[in-house]
Amino acid sequence: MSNKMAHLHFSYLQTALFLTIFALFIGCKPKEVDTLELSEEYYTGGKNGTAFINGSMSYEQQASAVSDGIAFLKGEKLFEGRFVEGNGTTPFSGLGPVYIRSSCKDCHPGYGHGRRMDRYNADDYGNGYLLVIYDDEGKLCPQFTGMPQTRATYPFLPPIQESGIHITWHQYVDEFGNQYPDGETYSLIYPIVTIDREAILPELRPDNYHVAVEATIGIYGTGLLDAIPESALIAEHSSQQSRGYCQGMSELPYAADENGNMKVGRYTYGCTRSTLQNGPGANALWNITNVIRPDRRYHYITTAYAQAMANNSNVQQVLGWSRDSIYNYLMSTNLSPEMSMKDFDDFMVWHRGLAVPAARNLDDPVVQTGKSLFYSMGCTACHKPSWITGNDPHLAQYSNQKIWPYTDLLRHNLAMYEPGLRANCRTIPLWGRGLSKVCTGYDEHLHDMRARTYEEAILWHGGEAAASRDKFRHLSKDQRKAVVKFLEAI
Amino acid sequence: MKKTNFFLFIMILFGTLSFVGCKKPVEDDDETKWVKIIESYTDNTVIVTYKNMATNAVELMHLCEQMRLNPTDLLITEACKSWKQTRQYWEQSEAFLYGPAEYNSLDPHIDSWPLDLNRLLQVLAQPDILDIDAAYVRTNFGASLVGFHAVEYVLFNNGAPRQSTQLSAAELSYLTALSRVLAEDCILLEGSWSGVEALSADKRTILTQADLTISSNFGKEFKNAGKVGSRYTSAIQAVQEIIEGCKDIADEVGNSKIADPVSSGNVLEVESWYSWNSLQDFINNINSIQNSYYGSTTGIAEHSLSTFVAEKNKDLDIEIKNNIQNAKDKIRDIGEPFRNHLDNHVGADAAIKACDNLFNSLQKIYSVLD
Repeated sequence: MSNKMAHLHFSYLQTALFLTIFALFIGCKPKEVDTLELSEEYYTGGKNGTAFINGSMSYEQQASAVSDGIAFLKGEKLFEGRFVEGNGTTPFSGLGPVYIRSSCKDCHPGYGHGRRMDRYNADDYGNGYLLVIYDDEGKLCPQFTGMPQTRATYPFLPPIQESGIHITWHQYVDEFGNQYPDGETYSLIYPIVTIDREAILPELRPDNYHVAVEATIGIYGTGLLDAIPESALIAEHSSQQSRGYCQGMSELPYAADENGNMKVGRYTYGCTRSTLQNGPGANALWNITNVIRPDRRYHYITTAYAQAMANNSNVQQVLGWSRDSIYNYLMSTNLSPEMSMKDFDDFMVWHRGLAVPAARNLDDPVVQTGKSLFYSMGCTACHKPSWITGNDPHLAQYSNQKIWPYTDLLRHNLAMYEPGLRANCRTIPLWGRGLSKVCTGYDEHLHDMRARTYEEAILWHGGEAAASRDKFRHLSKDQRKAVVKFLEAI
Repeated sequence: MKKTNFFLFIMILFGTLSFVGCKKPVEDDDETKWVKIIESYTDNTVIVTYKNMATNAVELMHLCEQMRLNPTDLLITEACKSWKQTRQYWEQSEAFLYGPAEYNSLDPHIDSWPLDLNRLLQVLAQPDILDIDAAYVRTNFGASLVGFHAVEYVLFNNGAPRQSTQLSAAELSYLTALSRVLAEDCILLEGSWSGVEALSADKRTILTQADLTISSNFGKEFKNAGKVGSRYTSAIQAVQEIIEGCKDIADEVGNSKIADPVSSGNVLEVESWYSWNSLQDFINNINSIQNSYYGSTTGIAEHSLSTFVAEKNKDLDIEIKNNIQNAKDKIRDIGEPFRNHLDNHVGADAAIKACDNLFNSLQKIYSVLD
């Protein structure tokens, strides 16, 4: 496979040579070529992690840093496949006994973010919402798994019946009456999510609970984010604190890596995961499907649910097992693997190796105007344009790359109306988002996909970002469009 | 396997600027050619393929409805033929799974794999299975219980049509509903590319009966690449989409669909468990590349990638054509049914290499897109 990659590597010299020939061919003066040479910002994922494909498959590309193309392809197959009931002896079997989705891709249509949905149904392709069920104090209800499950394999019962989950969208009028200073108006919407009490298994019903949804984001580039040194994250947090950002969050969140060592959290909206190897994707392959693998020989399950099923007479009757046997099976830490470590390793080769789409049109004058405004409005305070990766022990060619994710990987409070449990939310990377409509067919933003456009996303930025938002509000219409053009380009 | 393509990216990036700045007739001619290539590809490859698929799916649906009333061996045989015909066009569409197949969730609904057999058996044991209809299936069952492979399960066994006496009333009921959902999805796919107005009256009726609507015309948007309203910002971006779709399936056929089961020796990794149709599926995947490259399902269109490449580099066009044919030949040489020839490593290796060669020659198209 490596021979296929070889001819796709171009040096600056080759680039310049090509552009020179190209320019000569069309009759332009060679000196104009100088202005056309790619700047480093085009290499969003660095020289070894950027994909130069501008189309529907932009999020699916293998970074040139990946040498094992076969493993990458096998990992991709696990992401795209659909898990089914069974004990692991047939392909993709092992789903359940209780689960969230049967396919990774269902939540990441086109390898991108989940879609804004009007209902919660695990069978709806593109529904990347995960339920968040929390109490009055903002703590997750322990009756449910952190990512609550709504599906089960027979004869087990789902903790929550999806028919009792309701997502409704409501108009929001901001402090400016949804109007720019120049008179142009806009609309904003936000979700309210409820779960009927009767839709929850009786044994699991909390005394009080609130519900929110959080959507998936794209997967590309997460391996490069993993390669950012922890020291750089700490330094960035310190710098932000000194500048008045990350208010009320003087301590960085820490989370265990794959070896149990505590590291700075950099993944998920709450920064609750620290490394890719123990990150959202590595975990999702197990906890979304409950497919058992050698390093996770137990179910993603709660004690309350296991007790409820063990006490269920129908489950006992159908399985022909005693109460204790059912409970012990569900809570076992010695289950037979339904997926091999080789499968998991391949999955991680794919996950880590997904390249970032190159930036586009950065030389367009409108985009350049937008860029200038983006920087001058202070957006880059949190949407930190670039990082330098450190030494990557997993993928050597990801080391020492200048990457352009436009995130500080830190949490900020945007004072968003009805934010769910994410009042403090990690800055979402902006790289590649401009291709979402081509790749996924949809183009929504923010943690619950409430923003239907880039413009709405900016207008939801209050709190720490209010000053930047206000500067945006006072731009002319053309300037606002230029900012969006820039966002679409990166 | 996904590959980066820096060369074309530069083309897209600066090609447009150059056209604007220099206005050279030669470049304008190429741009015009790209637009015509996209038009022919959309009308004569994509829409024709989906139209044929939907037409066959409707026929399959009617056969299944007849079977429910009177399940004869003859009808089952006819339904199996119709399934294979419909499947043929689906496999011939795998070089263009972008757009509505992705955006409208139709790809997973039509062709998810594997079938969730445990759960399907539970569905067939439901007390109300005889009253089940397409609307119920669409609302209540996910992708692993519908589509080609669910229909295949009821119709085929060990690579042959099942006997009428083997089909239970529950299976016939579910099949009737399944085949209608499949037909509806195929019509949705055709209409999403062609526009609803281009659908035949009977297809529109089927959608109306199911309360399904089509609100977009992706084919028009694709043909309008570079114009206001299209998510494709330039004609060459759309051309790139065609090429990448071809490369992607060439790679997948060789290095995944063939390589994985041959490597493991596990017949269950071969997609078609019941019809044993996989080798034909692979050949039709290559036909999907051919039809995309030719800009037509019936030969080389006047405005096609093939004619464009031939004009720029005749040898490359010949190389691609030869590699398309060679890939089909080498796949066929593995032996049918594929699941019974997983030990033919020599044949499989030759087919994988042929797909790799096709991939590499398709990549070379970028060298003439100047």
